Order: sequence, then structure tokens, then C-alpha cells
Amino acid sequence: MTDLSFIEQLLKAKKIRLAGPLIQDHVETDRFVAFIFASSNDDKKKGPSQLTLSAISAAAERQGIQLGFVLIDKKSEEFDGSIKTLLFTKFQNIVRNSFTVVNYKRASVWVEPKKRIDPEKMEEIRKFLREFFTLLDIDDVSVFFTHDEDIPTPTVILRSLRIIAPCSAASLSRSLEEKRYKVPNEVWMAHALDRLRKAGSVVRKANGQFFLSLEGLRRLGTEKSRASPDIKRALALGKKDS
Amino acid sequence: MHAVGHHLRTYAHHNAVAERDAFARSAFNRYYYGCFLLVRSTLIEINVPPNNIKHGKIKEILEGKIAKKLESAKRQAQKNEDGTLVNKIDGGLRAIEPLQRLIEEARQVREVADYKPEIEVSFNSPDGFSLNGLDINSAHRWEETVRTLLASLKSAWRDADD
Repeated sequence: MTDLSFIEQLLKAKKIRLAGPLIQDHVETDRFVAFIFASSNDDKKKGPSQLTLSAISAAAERQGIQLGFVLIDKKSEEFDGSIKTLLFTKFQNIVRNSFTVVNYKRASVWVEPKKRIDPEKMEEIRKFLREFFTLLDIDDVSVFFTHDEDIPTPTVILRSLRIIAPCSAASLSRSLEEKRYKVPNEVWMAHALDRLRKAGSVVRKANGQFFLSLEGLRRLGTEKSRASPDIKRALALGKKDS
Repeated sequence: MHAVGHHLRTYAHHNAVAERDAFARSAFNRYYYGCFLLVRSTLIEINVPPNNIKHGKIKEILEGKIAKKLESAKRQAQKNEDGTLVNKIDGGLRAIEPLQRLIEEARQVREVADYKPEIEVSFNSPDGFSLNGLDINSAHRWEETVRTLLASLKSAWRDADD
């Protein structure tokens, strides 16, 4: 039996529909790719699961054949298109693009905004999507926004402070902005540092400069590599002194 | 590259009757390269050596060092109870699977387009054509999907690596 007919039989046994001829790699001749439809002819039936495809690949591998798949998944594409249309209609001045993946009862939606949007608007979009997915009986919904400029989170502030401490709130803001973070204003930064101080992660010196407490350092941890924050700090100190 | 792919697609569909198969398969090729180059430039931005970025190796790169770094940053953010950062890094981590799957499938389509001339392009739909079952409209959407997923990955990486 040839490799091709062996694979064809494997696929037929699992009732998998080929979208076109099996492809044999032009260099590594023991490698094949099957273009398959992700759903069955009958719309009510689900298409092959990842488990089924892995089992077929494993069976092929036992015969010395490497088998990969390209899934022609019209339904997922249509569904992604519907979510895009919904978002474009409801948030037309805000959303540039989106991409949705649904795996069983879990949905992930990436939303690319046209411009920076405030947290309230983000929450509105999240709520809108969660409500929509609830109608489809999907409760595990994650929405991710893709920004070029982000407001620094507490961990990001601590990491930056670790490198350049001791420093003033203004120096810390500048350092974050150099990394393309958006610091709303000095008052915002003062509040953020105050919250970290109350949480025991940051210490404020009498001269208004800040540095990390032992607890703050412990929370961040370190790593043994060329990108270690300890090395970055040593380099930053050297730069400061020179 | 995406624009070139789009031009070839339009040309194949409306004008090039004699050699429309060649124009159509070149459209698939350019759509793939548009995506590959986007991924390549992002990987270079996040310090992957250019020589390591080869066709067929994207999955290995994304699921290796990059995923590990993001996982570690996510654990750190969880320790700090930094929900915003956990969500952002999670966005990058979850983007890896659809991104590597899309780029790998696009590569396979490009292999068919370039090396399997015996598999002809099928001009059977009113608004396009397909190759081995994959519609040109699907290939056209690859780029915007890759852009969105890469933006999430880049954003997560910056916070993990700063």
C-alpha cells in the first residue's frame, strides 16, 4: 500500500472530508498535508476534533509518515465576520478590527481600537461581547485590547522603578514614557506610587524620591540571564554616574 | 506584499483569461509572504535573531522562548495581583496558537501554489477562486488577522520584557 492510499484510508475511517488532493512535500517525501473541511456535510454534526486529528497523525507517524492538516473552516470565518460586523456597527468610531476564536465553551476576542480608548469604553465593549456570547451559551469570554500606548500597570511601574531607583515621580514618568507607556499626568503617577507604598512595595524618602522595599523586590523576583533586571540596574547606575 | 496579492487576485479574476491560473496562484503566494514578513519583523523587534526566523520554524519560535517568557511574566503579575497586566499577557499568550496555526496553514497553501501546478486553481465561485479547497477571500483576510494577533503579542511582550 502506498503512503497516499494509507492516509486516505485513515481519513476515510474517521469520516474526514478532504477539500482537495493530499499534498506530498516536494523535498521531504515522507511529509504530507491534508486540506480538510472542519465541518461535516451535515451542519448539525461537529467536524473532526483536535484529538481525532492528533490520533490520525500519530497513526501515520507509526508508519513513518509525517501528516499535517490545513483546516478549511468556513463556519469559524463566518462567525468571526459576524462579531466584526457587530463591533463595527455598535462601536464604529472605536473598533478598527477584531478576531475571534471559539474553542468549545471558551471565546477569545482580540479588539484593535482605532485610537486610545478609556477603561469605561473597554468595559462597555467587554460587557457587550459577554452578553452576546451568553446568548450562545458561552460564559468563558476573554476580551483583549491591542494598544500601541498603554497606561502602565503596577507591575510595570515597579519594574521601571527597580531599574532607576532612587528617583522622583517625574523621573519615573519620563522613564515609562521612553518605553512608550502613557502616563496620564503627575497626579496620576503620585496616586499610583502612593498605592504601591501603602501596599508595602515602595518606600518614599524624605526628599520625595522612591525606591522598592524588600517586599517589592521579592514580589518582582529576578532571573538569571543576560536580560536579568539586576544587570539592567547595574547598567542604569553606571549611566547615571557617568 | 498584501497589496500585490490583492492586485494579482483582481487581475486573475477579471482579466487574465489565458494565464489566470498563474496569476491566481501568485496571489496566494504574495498573501502568504505578506503575513510571513509581518511576523518576521515583529520577531526581530522582540529580539529574535533574523537568521533563526525561517519558514516552517515560526511555531517553534513562538511556542519556545517567547511563550516561556510570557508565562513567567504572567506568574509575576499574578503574584502582584495586577489583573490588567495578567489580561494583557494572557492576550499575547492566547494569540500564539491561532497565529502559528494561521501562518503554518498559509505556508502550506503557498507550497501548493508554488510547487503543485498539477492542482489547478478552481474558478468556480462568482466572487473569487480557490486552491485545494481554500478560498482566496480567506487568504485575503490572513493579513488583518495576523496584524491584530501580532499587536497583542507585541504589547504583551513589551510588558514582559521591560
